[in-house]
Amino acid sequence: MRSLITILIFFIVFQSNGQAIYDTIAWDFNILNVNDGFSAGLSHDLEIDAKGYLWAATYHGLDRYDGYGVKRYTHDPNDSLSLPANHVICLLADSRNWLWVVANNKGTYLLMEETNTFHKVSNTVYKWLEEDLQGNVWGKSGEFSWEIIEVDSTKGKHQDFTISPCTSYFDGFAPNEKIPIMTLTDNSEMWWVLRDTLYAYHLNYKTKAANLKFKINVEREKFGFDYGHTALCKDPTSESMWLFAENVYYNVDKKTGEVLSEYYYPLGLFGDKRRNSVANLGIDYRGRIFLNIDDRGLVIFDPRDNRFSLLVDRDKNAPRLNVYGGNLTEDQHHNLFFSTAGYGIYKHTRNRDIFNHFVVGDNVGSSISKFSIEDGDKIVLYSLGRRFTYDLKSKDVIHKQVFSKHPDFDPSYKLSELIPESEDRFWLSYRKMGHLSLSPIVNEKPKFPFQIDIPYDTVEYIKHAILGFQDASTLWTIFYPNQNLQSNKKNQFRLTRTNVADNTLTHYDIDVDSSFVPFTSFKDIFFASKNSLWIPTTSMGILRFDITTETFKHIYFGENSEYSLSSNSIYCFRPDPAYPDSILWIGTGNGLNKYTYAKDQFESFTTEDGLPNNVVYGILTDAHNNLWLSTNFGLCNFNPTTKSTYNFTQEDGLQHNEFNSQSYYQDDEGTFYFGGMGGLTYFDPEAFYENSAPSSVVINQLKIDNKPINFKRNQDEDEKETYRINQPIEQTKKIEFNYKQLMITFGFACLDLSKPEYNEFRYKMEGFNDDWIEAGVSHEATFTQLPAGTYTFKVQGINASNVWNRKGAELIVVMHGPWWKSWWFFFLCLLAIAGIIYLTYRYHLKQNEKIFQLRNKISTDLHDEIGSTLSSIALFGSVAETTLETDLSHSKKMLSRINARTTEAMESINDIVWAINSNNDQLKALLKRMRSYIFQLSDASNVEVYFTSDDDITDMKISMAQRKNIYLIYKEAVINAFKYAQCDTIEVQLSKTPSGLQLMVKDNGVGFNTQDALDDFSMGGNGIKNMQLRTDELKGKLIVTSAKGEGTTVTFTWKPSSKVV
Amino acid sequence: MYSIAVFDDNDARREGLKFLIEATPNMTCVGLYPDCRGIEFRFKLNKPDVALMDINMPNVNGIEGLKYIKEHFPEVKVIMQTIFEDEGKILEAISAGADGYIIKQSSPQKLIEGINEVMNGGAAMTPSVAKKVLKLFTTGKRKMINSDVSLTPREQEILNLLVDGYTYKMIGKELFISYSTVNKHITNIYAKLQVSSVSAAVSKAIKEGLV
Repeated sequence: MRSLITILIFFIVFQSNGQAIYDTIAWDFNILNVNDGFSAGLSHDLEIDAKGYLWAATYHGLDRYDGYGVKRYTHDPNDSLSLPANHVICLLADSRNWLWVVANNKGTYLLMEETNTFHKVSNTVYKWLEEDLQGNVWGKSGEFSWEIIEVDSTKGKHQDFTISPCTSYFDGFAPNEKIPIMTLTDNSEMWWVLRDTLYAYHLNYKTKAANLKFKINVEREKFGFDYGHTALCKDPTSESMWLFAENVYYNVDKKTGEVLSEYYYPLGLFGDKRRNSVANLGIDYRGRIFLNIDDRGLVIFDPRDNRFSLLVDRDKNAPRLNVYGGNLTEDQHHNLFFSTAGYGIYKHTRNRDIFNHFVVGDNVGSSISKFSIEDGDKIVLYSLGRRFTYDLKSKDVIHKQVFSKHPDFDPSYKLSELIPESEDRFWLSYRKMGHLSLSPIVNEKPKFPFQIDIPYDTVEYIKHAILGFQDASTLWTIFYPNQNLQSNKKNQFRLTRTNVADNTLTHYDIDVDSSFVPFTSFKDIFFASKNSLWIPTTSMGILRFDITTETFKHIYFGENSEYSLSSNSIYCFRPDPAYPDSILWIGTGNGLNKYTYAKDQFESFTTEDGLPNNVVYGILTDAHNNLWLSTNFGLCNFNPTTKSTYNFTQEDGLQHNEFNSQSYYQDDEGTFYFGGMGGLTYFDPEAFYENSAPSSVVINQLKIDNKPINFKRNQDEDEKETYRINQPIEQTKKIEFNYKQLMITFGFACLDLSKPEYNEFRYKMEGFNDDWIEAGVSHEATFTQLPAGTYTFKVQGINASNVWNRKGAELIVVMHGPWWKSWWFFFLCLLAIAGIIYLTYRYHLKQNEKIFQLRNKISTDLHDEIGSTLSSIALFGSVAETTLETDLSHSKKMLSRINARTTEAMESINDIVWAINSNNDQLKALLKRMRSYIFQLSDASNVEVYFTSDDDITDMKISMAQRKNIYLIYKEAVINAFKYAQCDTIEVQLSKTPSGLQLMVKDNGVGFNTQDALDDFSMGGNGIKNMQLRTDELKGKLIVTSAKGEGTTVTFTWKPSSKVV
Repeated sequence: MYSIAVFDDNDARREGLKFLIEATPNMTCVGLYPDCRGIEFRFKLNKPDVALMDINMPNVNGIEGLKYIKEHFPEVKVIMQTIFEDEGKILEAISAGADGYIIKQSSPQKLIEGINEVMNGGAAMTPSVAKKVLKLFTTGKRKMINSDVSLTPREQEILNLLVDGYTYKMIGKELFISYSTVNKHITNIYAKLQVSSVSAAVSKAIKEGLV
C-alpha cells in the first residue's frame, strides 16, 4: 500500500517529460515609501536614469530619489511647463538620457532637467513606453496597439525646443491585428501573442514595414483564453524565447519559431488556482526572469536550470509581496526595485543576493562553529562525537555519523572530540586520567584499540589540548601545567609531538611567565613552514616553536612596544596572499595584526582603521589579494595594499553579524564559508568585484542659511538677487553668493542606491581648502563666511562597491564681498589716500616753494638793491683810500659818492622792510606810503599833486609781492614825472575797474616818444623798462601814453590777490 | 696794461668797479655796460682784454654774453662775478668757457688779485664749486658725463682738498707740489669742463637739478 502511494505521488510530480519543481526563496528588502519622501506607496512605474536616480510615477506626482530623499515634481496650475498632471502613468529613461513622462489625460512629455520643464511630445496618453535597441521609443497607444514616437533629436535638447510630434506606424500587420503584449528582440523583431497565436514580425525601420516572419498556433486548451495573461520573455542566451501561458510554458527557437520544449508549471506554484495569469516583469543581470503571478506573487524563473522559485520576503511581518503592474527595475549596481500595490518600493540590493545562507533545520538561532565542506555542495558539521552532512542548498541531512559507543569501547575513556586529519580522514579522541588517546575512523567506525596513546603525569599536568595533525604521521598536543605545584614546573607547558605510525612521543617543555598561565587555552596550530609552529592561545599570545633548533619564542602583547602583538587573544593566521613568505596576517581579540618576518614586527589594524569590530575570528584571502575577515560584527573586506576596508552586515545579507572562531573555510572553487551565530554564510567573493565602476556623484541640494533653496522658474527680482540661480542646482555650473549669505550648504549624493547611507564623500572648496575634507557618510558640506573670491567646489564619492568616483562633481562658487570689501573699492580707497597724500605733499611743496620763492625774492632784492650798492661803496672806499695821498680831490669825489650810495641803500632797505612787514598787508598802508612819498617830493617842488583813491578798496588785502611792485612802479612813474616831465600837476588815482585795480599817474609835462624811451638802453629808458618788468611779475597790464608836449599817463592795472605770500 | 670791460646792471657797482680799475696801475676800464646787448659793436670799438661779467643781468644775461664772447672774441678772457656763490651758474659759466670767477663780496684787493691771477693763467675754484665738479664727474649712480672725459686721481685729490676748505697754497704743501701746479690742475679741470660734450651735460644736469 505504502509503495503504491509512493508510485502515485511519483506520477503526479513527474507526470510528463520534465515537470519542474519549485522552491521558495526568502529575500531581504528595504522598503522605500512616504517615510523616505515619496509621494505615494503605489508607483505606477519605476525607472533608473543614466546617472542612477530612481524615478517613480505616482498618482500624486513624479518622484526622483537619490538615496537620501526625494525631489518631487508636481503640477503647478500657474506654470504651463510644470508637470502637466500629477497622475503619472508611465516613465522611460531612454538611452539618450531623456526622461519620458506620460501624464494622465494630458499626453506624453519630456522632462528637461536643465530647466525643470516638461515639454509635450505627443497628445497620446501611452499606457506603456519601451525603447528598442535602435533607440526608438515605442508607446502602447491603445489596448492593442503600439507605435514609435519620433522626436527631432537635434532640437531635443534646447530649452525652448518645440517638438513636432511624429508617430510612425508600421504597415504590414494583418488587418485588425491588435498587439496586446509585445516584446522587441535584439534582431529588429517584434513578437506578440494574441489569443492562441504567437506572432513574430520583422521590422524594417527604414521602410516602416513589418513583415510576418512566422506565427505559431498553440493548443488553446493549454494556452488559455485571456489576452493579457501570458508573458513573453527573451532567454538570456538570446537564442530562444520563453512564452508563459496559463497552464504551460514554452521555449521557442527565435530563428525558426519552432517550439523547442513545452513544460507544465511545477505543481503548487500557483496555489489552488486552476487558471494562472502570468505577467513578465523582466530579466535581471543574472538572466533570471521575474514573473508576477496573480494572487501568488513574485516568481523567479531561472532558464538555465528551468527552475521556478517563489520569492518571499524574509521579514515575515511584511505585507505579501505583490508587485504592481509590470514594474521591475534594475540599476547599474544590479539592485532590483519592485513597485508594490501600495506598500512602497521594494529594494533588493545586489549584496544580499550574493550571500547565501545555510541554517540547520530552518532554525535561525543555530550557531555553526566547526564545519567542513565536501564537494562544494555539502557541509559537514562537527560536534561532540557527531558528524552530520547536509546538502547546502536543500539543507537536507544527507548523512549522519554519531560516535558515542563502540563494541570495543573501554567505558573508562570519555569521548572527547572529532579531529579531522585531512578532508577524508578523521580521528576520535578519548580522555582518561593520565591518558590522551586517539583512534582513526575506518568505515565510519573508530578503530580500536587506540592507535595513539599519550600518557601523562597527572600531578604535573591537569589537562590537554589537541592542536592538530601536521601531516598524516605527526600529531601535536599540548599539556597544561598544574598550578598547585611547588616547583618551577607549574609554569611549564608540555608540547608533545606524536609519530602516528609507531606512537613515539617527543616532549618539549615551554616555560612562560607565571602571570600568563592561568585561564589560557589552546585550540589550534599553524604551520608557518615545515619546521615552524605557531600556536595561538586565548590569553597569552603566540608560542612559536622551531622544530629544528627546538627553541621556543613566546610572543605577547607588550604595553610599551610599538611593534608588538595588539592582543594576547589569538584566533587565526593567514599568510599574505601576495607575499606569503614575508607577511603573516593574524586575527586577534584586538584587531588584525600584520607580522613582517624580516622585521619581526607586528602592525595592528583596528576599528580605527575601518574594521567593523576588533575581534577577528577568521581570515580568508581572495584572488584579488584582499583579506576577508569574519568578526564579532560582520564581515570585512580588507585591502592590504591600500588598507581600505569594506564592511558587510546582516543588512547586506549576512546570516548574522556575529561569527565564530575556527569557523571559516575556502573551497577549491574559491567560495568562502563563514560560520556564525545564525548559521553559515557562503558566497563567491568574485561577485563583489563584478561591478566596480564608480557611481555618479551629483550636487543636488543647496541651502542658504540652512534654508533649502529650490529653483523656481518664475522667480521675482528679489529671489533672483538673493539666490542667483537660474537653473536647478543640479544643472548649475557656477553659482554666486553675496556676503550677507553667511552659511552655504551643498547637498550631494553618490548615486549608488545599494546602501546610500554608507556611501562616503570627500569634498573641498578649491581656493579655500587645501586638502580634501573627509566627510564620511555625511552628504552635505557647509561653509560659513567664505571670504570673497572665486572657488571651485568639488565632491567625490565612494559607492557600495568601494569604488571612488574621482571625477566627482564640481561647481564654481563666486562669493561676492560687500561693496566696501570689493577690490575696486579697496583700489579706490587706496587711490583716494594716495591722492590725499599727494595733494598734501603738493600743498606743502607749493607752500615750501612759495616760501622758497619769497626767500629768494627777498635775497635777490637785497642783493640787487642793497648788496650791489654796498659793494660799490666798498669799491669807492677802496679807491678813495688809494688816492688819498696822491689825489685828495678824487678821494673826496669818492666819499661823496659813498654818501649818496649809502642814502640810497638806506632808502632801499626801508622799502624792502616795509614790503616784508605784515602790518602793511592792507591796501590803505600802501596808499599811505604812496601818498607820503609823492607829497615829500611835491613839498620840495612847485608841482601840484592830486591823490585820489576809491573808498571801498582801502581795506583790501594785498600781497607782499604786489605791494612792493606796485609801489616801485608807482615810485618810478612819479620820479619820472618829477625828474623829466617838467610838469605842473601830477594826478594819482587808484580805483577799482572791471579788470582789476587800476593805478594811474598822469602829468601835464613835456612828454616823450615812447618808442625812443624803449630803444634807448641808457639810463633814461630804464624807468619804463623796469616798470614793464615789474608789471610782468604781477601779471598786470602797463600802458604808457605820451607824446612830445602832451604829458604822460602811466596806467597800471592788476588783479588784486588777497594772498599775503 | 689790461683793458677791462665791466658788465653789471647795478649802476653803483658798475661805477665803483670803474673807479677801482682805473685806480689800479696795470688796468684800465674800457667799457661799462648794464647788460650784454651789443657786445660785438662794443668790443670792436673798445677791444678789451678782459670782460668782468655779472651773471644776472636783464635782457641778455652774463652766461649768454660769455658764450657770445667766447664764440666771437675767444682771445678775450671772461671773469664771472656773482654776489653769492651760485655754484650751478658758476659751473655752467666755466663749462661755457669762463676763464675764472670772482665772488662779489670779495674785497676790492682780492678782486684785483683775481683779475691778475686769471690773466696769469690761474683759475679760481672755491670749495662749493669744487664739490659740484667732483659730483659731476664721479657720481656713481648716474654718470652724467661719458667716460672719455674724466678726472685724474690727482685732480680728484685736489678737488677733495678744496672741498675740505684747503687753499691752493695749503694744497700745494699737502701734496708736495707747487702753487702753480695746483693752478695748472685747476686749469685742466676747467678745460675738461669746457669740452663741448661735458658742457652740454653740465647744462642738462643743472637744469635737472642734479648738481
